[in-house]
Amino acid sequence: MALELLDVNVGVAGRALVRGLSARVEPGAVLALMGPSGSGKSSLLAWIAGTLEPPFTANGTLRLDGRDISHEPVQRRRIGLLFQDDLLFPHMTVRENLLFALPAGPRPAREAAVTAALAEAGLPGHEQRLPSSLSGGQRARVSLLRCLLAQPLALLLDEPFSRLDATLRAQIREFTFATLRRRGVPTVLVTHDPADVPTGAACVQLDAPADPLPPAHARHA
Amino acid sequence: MPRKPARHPVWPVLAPVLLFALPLLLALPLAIGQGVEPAAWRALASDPQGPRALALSVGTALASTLAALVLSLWLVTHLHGTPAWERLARALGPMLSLPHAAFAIGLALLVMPAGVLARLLAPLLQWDAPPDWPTVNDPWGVGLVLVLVAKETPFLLWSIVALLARPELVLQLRGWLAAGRTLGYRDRAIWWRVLWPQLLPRLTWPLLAVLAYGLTVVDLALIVGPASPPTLAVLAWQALLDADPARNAEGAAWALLLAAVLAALVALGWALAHALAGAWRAGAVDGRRRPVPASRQSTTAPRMAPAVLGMLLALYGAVALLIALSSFTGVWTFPSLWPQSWTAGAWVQVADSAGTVGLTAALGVFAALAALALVLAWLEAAPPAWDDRAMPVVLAPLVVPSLLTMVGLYSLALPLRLDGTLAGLAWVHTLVALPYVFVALAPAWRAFDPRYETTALALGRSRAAFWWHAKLPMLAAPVAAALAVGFAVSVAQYLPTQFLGAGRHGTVTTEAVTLAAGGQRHTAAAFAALQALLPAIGFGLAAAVGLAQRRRIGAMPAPHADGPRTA
Amino acid sequence: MSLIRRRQLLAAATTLPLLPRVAPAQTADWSRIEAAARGKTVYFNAWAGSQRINAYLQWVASEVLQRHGIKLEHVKVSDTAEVVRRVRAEKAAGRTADGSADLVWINGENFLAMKREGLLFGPWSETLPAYAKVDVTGKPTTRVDFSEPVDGMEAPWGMAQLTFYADRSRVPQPPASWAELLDWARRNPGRFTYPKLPAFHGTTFLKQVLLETTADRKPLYAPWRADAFAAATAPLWTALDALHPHLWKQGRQFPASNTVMRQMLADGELSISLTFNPNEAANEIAAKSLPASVFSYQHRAGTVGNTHFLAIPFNARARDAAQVVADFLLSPVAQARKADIKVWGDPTVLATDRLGPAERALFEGGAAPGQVAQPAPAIPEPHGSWVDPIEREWARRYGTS
Repeated sequence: MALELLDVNVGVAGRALVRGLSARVEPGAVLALMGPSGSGKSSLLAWIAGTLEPPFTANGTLRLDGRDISHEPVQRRRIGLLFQDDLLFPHMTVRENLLFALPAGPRPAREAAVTAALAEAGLPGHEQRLPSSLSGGQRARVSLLRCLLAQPLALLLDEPFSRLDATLRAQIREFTFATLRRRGVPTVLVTHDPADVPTGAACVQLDAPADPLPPAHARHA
Repeated sequence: MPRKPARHPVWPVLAPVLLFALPLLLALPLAIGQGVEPAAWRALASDPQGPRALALSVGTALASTLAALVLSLWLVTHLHGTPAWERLARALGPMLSLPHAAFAIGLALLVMPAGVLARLLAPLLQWDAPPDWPTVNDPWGVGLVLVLVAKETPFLLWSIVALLARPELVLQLRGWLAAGRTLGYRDRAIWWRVLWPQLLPRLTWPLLAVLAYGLTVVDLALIVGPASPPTLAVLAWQALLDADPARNAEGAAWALLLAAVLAALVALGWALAHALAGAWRAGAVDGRRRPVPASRQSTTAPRMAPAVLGMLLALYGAVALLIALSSFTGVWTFPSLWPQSWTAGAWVQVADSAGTVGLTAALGVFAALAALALVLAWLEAAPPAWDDRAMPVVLAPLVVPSLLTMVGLYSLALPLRLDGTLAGLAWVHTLVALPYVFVALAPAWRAFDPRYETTALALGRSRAAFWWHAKLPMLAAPVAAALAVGFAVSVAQYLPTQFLGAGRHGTVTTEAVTLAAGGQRHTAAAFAALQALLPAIGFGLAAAVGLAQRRRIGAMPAPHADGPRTA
Repeated sequence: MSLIRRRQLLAAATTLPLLPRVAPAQTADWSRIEAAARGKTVYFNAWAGSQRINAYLQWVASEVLQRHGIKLEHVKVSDTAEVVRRVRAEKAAGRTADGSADLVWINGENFLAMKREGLLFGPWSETLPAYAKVDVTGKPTTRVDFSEPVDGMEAPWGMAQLTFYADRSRVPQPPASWAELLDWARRNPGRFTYPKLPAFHGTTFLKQVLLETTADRKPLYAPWRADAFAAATAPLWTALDALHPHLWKQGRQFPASNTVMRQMLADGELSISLTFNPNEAANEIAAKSLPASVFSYQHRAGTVGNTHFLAIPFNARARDAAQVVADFLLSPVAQARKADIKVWGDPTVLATDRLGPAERALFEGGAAPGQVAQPAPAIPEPHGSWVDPIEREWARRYGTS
């Protein structure tokens, strides 16, 4: 269930942003991509997700659970994606947003999964609520739940806490990484704030694009 | 380099291209070709009405467009952020749904020499015959300009309201206003110095549509416009409808001249805008500030704006009332204020034409849905960069005189044996509705956050599932508005139905026009009322959808909000 | 016989070239046409501006369905020119069968255009059984349309004559000639006008004034010639120059059509208006669009009159059925109902004195308020080629205010 990157290059307009990156993220572990804006960390994340568009170019191998998924479309990669905004569908209730993510199956089992997930997140009974009636922290939690209910084999977090205020941030951070560790999902986190990186996470520092880099190696925080 | 699968399939673009763009591009040369005969241009040059008609067309179009623009900007500047803004936004739907011709008929009933105003004054001034008032059909086109301004201002306001409602602009606007206030400027000054220079460029397409309409309008000019000579658009129309082919060619030549004039005006406007922009900016940054009053209510302009809005609404109300009333009047000689006899004859005629109501509604629904499907195919499949290049083709039907377009489309439909068929009729109505549906929907569609789609795909769902369950419902309000607009446009069509239907199929509008040729006022009013009713229902439904959406999605700040959220 | 009537007949006779007599109808042929017509649909393109006409056509539709099994569809047209354009376009596109129109209500310039360009089927009208009853001698315009020989290419349907109507409360004594009209206008400025040319009724009014003021009417019935034009129309322009300052809006502006003028009369803005249907005012009074004080009159010496016709386009799909419908429209039953003021009031083309007593009784309708009290003779229309030059000259002189 590990996520592997092998010899990944990402560039734009003939300029290399990331060169020869290799990394392996074990289940439940976190790989943090850090660097100033423009260093290519979001582009790298997009490549892993399968959403990288021109003018960006990339090559390299991506393996998930031993399978080479470098050329799979987004829908087939089983990689979850969380953005800064919760992006909950505003016209659906919490329950409907969560059901949207669940794989198809017998109805009672799906409903039970939704109830269990909400209980786990400390939001029991919130099924019929609309996103507009939830607080920012509640929405962030539901968004993570939605991601996880799709049973991803890996998870990508693109600066997921930057929209939350300081106190909430710590809370949600705790909750997120505890859940991911418990579920055993390999995670790649993009952030510019070192405080976001959990202890024990591997760190890749991407430098500003002006400097030519020797191939980056995984370093421990 | 590994082959990258295309993110979106582009082939759906073929549908709108084949069914809309291609026929248009083929039809226009066919129609224009009829107008490039030298004989036609010689007749044009020797026509004594020509120069005066041209001056009238240009004058009325420019005057009405500028006046509508200034009035809209002024109203928005003074009403934005006040409670009256909501009233304005809600009133626009009903105002827009009143067809132009019906409005003109109602307004004429108000201000013409034998109209209600004159009858009110008659006892005071001891008139026993209608006065010689140049209110309607006056030789300078003032009546036409007034009607155009009254009708185009709500349209511009609707475009501005839609623009200002875009999520990214809502917060930017708030930010800019806040920044300007902290720098010591009054709101009004901020609008004129900072906001309008940024927003006006985004209003070019609606403005162009307004100018094009004012230049090429025929039915309004016939009802309230000058008669000797009429505007150029009316001259072209009369010549194109003549039985003599030489006159038809003249008409095509007149229409070409109009199109050239429009292009010249646009170029002139563009040059003028660029020339003035520098001066405007210099004026904006001169640093002069009027002292801000202690209380917001102490200036006159903010009080005047709601009053002006009220007057506009009252005018529409009066017009609607007059139309409804006069559909029942029989003999109504001057100077009596009350009709001498009432008759339900007009509504009996309407009931006799009930079959046409069904066809009108069916055509409207089909045209709206088909236009929506084509527009969505384009919006989903074509890269956003293509939109700018597509705009001229999309807006061509709005800009080219519709009679010319219809002549061309008819020439295209004849060999295909589509004339007189319901299929041909449905197709041409879709074609006519498409530009409006596109203009109504494209901005909201393009502004949709693409990360929603990425999220759904990353959840393992298919693109189709995301589209059906998430994107379309989230955009239900703009889609409903676009459908309502498409429906209204289809209902109002006369020339397409008459030309391509070969007169076989009657809609409410064709009935109205042919009966209006018979000159009975109550009949004309009854059919005008019917013409207004159908689109009003459409707009009402769209407003209901919009309201339901707003309630559900609520006051949740849209993504792209800057600043942290609190728990 | 009065001098005027003799002159008229003489004028009519000299303009009629020796028309060959078309063979009388052969009953066997007609039965074949009737049989072929059964079950067909006829698209009748007719002006639909009046609900009464539309209602009459609904009655016709139910009758032909019952009698001949033909489905009549009234294609509502606001101007016959659109039918001319449509048939012309179909011919240019090579559509020689399966046209969109089977029967057309037409006359005058439109007929001239269609006949000259070969857009009509025919000759057929004189082979109709009902044609025998048409009053071709008393109503010469049934065989000559705007001085163009009909040649059997269209069937006469109804009569029209320029008629004025006025509100008795404002016009106790109507002006019954051009000179009297000019005098009345001087004394009542701003209460009369005529539609802006090239609207049909405006052109007709001008023709009326031309016929009344011109020295010699003969050139008007021959094809137009530039030298004849100047001489013949000089009195017309002088007359109009004298009239215009006393017209509504001092002749700087003209209403778009006669129906607009009718509404202005109803409102009281005008005191005299004009029409081509002698019974229109009576019709409108019955429909409560005009006050009951309105009455119709014609100029003592005669007003321009013509016949309106039914024609069949060359590419009509249901040719036989169209002829059967035309035959019915010419029948005494249909003509009587059409002439009934309570229904439409359009005068008949039939020779009522030659009908049998039963059929003649159909035409005994009561008089209706507003009808013409003393009918005046009908003056035939000038040659169709004069219309365009008159319209252009008028536009040149008075088109811009």
